[in-house]
Amino acid sequence: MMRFNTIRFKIGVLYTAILGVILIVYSCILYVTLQNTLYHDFDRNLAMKAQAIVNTIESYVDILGYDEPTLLFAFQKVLGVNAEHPYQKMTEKLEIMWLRNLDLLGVRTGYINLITAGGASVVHSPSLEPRLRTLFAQHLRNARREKICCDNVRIDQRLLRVVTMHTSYRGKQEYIIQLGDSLAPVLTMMQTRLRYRIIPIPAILLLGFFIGQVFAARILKPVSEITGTARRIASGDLSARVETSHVDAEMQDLVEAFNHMISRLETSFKYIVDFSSHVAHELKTPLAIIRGEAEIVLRKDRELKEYKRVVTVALEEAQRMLKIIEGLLLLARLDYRADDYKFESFDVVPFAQEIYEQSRILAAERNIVIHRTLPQEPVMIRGDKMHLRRAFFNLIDNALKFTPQHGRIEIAVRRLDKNAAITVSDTGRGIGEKDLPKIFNRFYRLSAAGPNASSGVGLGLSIVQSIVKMHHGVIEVKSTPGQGTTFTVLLPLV
Amino acid sequence: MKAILIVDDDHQIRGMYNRLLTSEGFKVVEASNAADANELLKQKRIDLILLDIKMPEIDGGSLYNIIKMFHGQVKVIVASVYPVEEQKRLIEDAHGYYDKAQGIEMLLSEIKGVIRGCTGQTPS
Repeated sequence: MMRFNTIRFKIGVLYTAILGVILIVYSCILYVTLQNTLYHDFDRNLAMKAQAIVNTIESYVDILGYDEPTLLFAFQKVLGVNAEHPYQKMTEKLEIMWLRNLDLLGVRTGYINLITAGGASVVHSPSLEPRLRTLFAQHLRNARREKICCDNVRIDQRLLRVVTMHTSYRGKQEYIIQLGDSLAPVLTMMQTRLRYRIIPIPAILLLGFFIGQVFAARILKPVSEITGTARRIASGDLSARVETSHVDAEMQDLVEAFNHMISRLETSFKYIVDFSSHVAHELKTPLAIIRGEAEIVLRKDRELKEYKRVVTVALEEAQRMLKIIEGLLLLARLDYRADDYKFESFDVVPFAQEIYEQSRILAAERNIVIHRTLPQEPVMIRGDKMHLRRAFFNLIDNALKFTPQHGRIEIAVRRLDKNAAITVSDTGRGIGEKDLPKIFNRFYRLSAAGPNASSGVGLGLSIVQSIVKMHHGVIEVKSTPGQGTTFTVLLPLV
Repeated sequence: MKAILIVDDDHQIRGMYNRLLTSEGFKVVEASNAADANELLKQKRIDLILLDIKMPEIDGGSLYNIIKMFHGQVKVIVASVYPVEEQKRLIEDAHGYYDKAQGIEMLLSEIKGVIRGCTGQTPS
């Protein structure tokens, strides 16, 4: 189900990795920030407690008057250690007040050390065992530089945080107070936090992975649709197209281009099929004639002239088939191989004059007069002379075919907007309204008016139209039955 | 003597069938388009029509309908270069069908069959 070289998988992994990195970095930042805050608060708390103790010591000494024994007494009283002083009655109120605070501040259970300037521990709380005292003492040095600092002290499995405050009684006697507290609550909180943070992460990443895959699949849906459609087309169904309704913008272009390509292919295939069946169809009539005549003449003995006639017919029909095939091949090439054309810029006027000269001979044979109307200034177009010559001769050929004796044909060139307009008009029998739209179709022939008419194969005008299209031009026809026909070829001027 | 009308726009074909059928003892008339065919049907007695499908102006199919409507007693054999199955699709209930490329024996047997009165088609 899961293929590892798919875009879906790769996007899923990438997405998950990025998500994972962001989650981890973010969690680390939060963790560290929390830790800093907790420690900061913890330290402040320790400092406050230490300060409260210092204040109380000051109060004691203030009441009893300063001297070394009094200071010692104050130290002891503050820590809840039994002590004696001659005037201790004066401090009864203070003592009661302090006793209340003692428990509040956790002094009895806390780790408190009071040290004189000499460095010796004067009084300490009962819980401060010798090992701890030694550990605490390690931090005394720092206190001389900064007035107050906090450090971690590890003993056995416990982690304590110790504040070391360097202070003095009203400037007279310097001493140091060290107050330590267990970091257990902080540590527990951090651990819980960590657990709640870490545990969901794999689940989130897994979810992210699948969501990433879902999104990738959704985006890539047109790709699989195109693949499916391409397969359908390969197995023969050229009418298949990809739906473009719910498609993202980038895919839209791809899908439209794909559909367009298939349409063109469909048209081409249809063209080929039509063309092939056209060829087959058109060739069958000459073949029917050849076969028929041959079979008929062979049924019994005939005169020599009959055999000669049949052979002549066979020859004519063979030539007709050849014309059909050549005409069709030319059409196929005209439609699909534009590189056969060699375009050049030239003046239509002398070109038309040439055609006129050459047509006069053909027309004279049929007693038809050709006229020409050409402008004085040059009319420049861009085209392939050979192909255009063929096109215009086809038109003149048609004019000659359908114009009776003593009729008239005219070739004219003029400018019309941005085009060169070349017209071939005749006074022939014209084309009916119903036939007019069909005359450019392949193999379309008007009904025979005489032997000349059926020598055509019906491709002449198709070829003209193809050539004109290749020149980015247009061909138009106007006709009145009984009076004549005019073909107008419009080619862009350069 | 049976009269056969050949309707086809190709004059070589018309000439060829004319010669053949005349030598087989039929009376033959030709028409190159639907209008002429119609005229001949009105003026003369015709027993059988050899009808080409693809003709310019009015195509064979429309002419066939006219023949059926106004000259229902005339038998019609559809003749074309289309294959016979194709012809049957275009004109559904003619008396006979003929593929022009199949040679004259086929044509003769089809004509004789239709004149004798069978409406079946010759095996292709």
